[in-house]
Amino acid sequence: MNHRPPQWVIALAAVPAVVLGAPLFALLWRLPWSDLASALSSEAATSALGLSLVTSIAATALCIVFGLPLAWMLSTGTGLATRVIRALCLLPIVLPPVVGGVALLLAFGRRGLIGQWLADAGVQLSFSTAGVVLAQSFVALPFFVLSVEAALRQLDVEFAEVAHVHGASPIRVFVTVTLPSIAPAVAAGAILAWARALGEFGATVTFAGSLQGTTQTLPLAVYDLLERDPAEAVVLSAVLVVVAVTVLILLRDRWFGVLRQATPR
Amino acid sequence: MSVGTQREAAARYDAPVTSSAARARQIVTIGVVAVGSGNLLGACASTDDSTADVLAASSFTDVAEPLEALLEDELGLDVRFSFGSSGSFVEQIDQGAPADVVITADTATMMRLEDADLVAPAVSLVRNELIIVTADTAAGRSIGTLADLDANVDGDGDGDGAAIVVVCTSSAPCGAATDELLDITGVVLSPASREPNVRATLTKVLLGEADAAIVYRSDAFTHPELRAVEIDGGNVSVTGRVAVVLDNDGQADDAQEPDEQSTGDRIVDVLTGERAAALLAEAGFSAP
Repeated sequence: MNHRPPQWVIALAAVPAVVLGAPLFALLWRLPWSDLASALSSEAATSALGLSLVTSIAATALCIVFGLPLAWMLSTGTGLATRVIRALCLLPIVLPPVVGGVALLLAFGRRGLIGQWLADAGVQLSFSTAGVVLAQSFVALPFFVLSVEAALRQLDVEFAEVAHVHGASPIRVFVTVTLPSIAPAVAAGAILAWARALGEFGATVTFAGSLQGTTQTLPLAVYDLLERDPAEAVVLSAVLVVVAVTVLILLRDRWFGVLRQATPR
Repeated sequence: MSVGTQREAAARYDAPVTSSAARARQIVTIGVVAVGSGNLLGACASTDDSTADVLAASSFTDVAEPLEALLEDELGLDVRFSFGSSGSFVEQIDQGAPADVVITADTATMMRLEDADLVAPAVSLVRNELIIVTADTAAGRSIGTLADLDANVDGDGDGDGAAIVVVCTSSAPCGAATDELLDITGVVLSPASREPNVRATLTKVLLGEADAAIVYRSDAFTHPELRAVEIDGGNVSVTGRVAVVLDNDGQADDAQEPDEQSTGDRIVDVLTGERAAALLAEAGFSAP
């Protein structure tokens, strides 16, 4: 494609480039380099970083374990139930996270629809690390499910049918034939879900609260520190950016590598 | 879900939303400049003479509606309140959050604004005290004194530990006052959560997620459905302050002449007047 866009298109394109780039640049610009080590080694910073990594990875794992079956189911169905469940799947994307948190409280809180049964059984999710994982999974799941479902729908069913005709069970076909061919979409969905979970704020603070070491993840710590120690808040924000960018770079080759192999058919 | 709950949830975090909206407006403005259409710029300008913005500590959430009506009645302005933790106001106003007047929950946060030359000299508006509110739960009902919140005491006597207690984060005035209270009384708390501001703290008890919370007397006053427990043996009080927000030249935002009374000055006059005092007293605040 050698049709270069005209100058004014380039000028328009420069606007979002600046808008996206400037905050990142400003964050690094304002970074207090001399206090970096002490800011990073503070207890608030280390516990928030550790908690964020553990909970976001746990949430991503949950999304994969429960999202794959859901995506598979959604990709095969056409009925009313499928459409309703798909709409439910989209809900956390359009819902403001704080409202999502309120809804989670009403469902899984101590007096919630399901939460009151859990409370009777001695399980309390609000104010717990498990509650953080639940809130993160709630907001992240759609990204995984929609990504995988789209790939499943576009998949050439011929291979699977051949395998099926040769007597393989549906699970065997899914694992050995379907899954390898949608691997890039699974990886992309998992990364999107993880990124969403890592940045989760509203649903977490509403549903799980904010306590250092238990429920105060990195975004919550940044928000709290902004009022007490803005310089350290900037350092923690930068950590969040660096972690996210590093993972994107590390996964890029693998992710796009698979994508390249998978595309020509 | 009740409308009130939803509104409260939205109100609690609307401070950052407001400032990001301001940022979005800036971005829109930049975009308009880039395209080179000057006409739209006038329409984007947010500050005109008929509207005023009041940035208030979240403890003023319940009294904002009558205060807003009073201000609109006396000044003929369209007044908008937005809420947040007082602790966040320095950063917000420094970054240009639209505000003619700021109300903080305590003297310390107002002093940070005064020291940064972001506001004109402040005046005291109300006095507030800490109080315990409890939910209608077994552990909540069993709380009779501050000492019952002690982490070492089994709250409801059923052997599975103390009540679930939430308090404000240390950087919010209610949290700073709570820390001071615990210092004075020697009570040891292990809170389940340190919420970003007093409204978020209160909401956790309103929803029944927590058994008890330490909030302001005014919060208990406007929520009679919650049981309030007085704090015995040395309470901590905070003084809410109000001030006019200055722009970069140390002038009230829209004052053209040094001796002209700005919108902010007029709002502060009304807020410190008799009619406002009556409304504040009705909402459970004490006179400063």
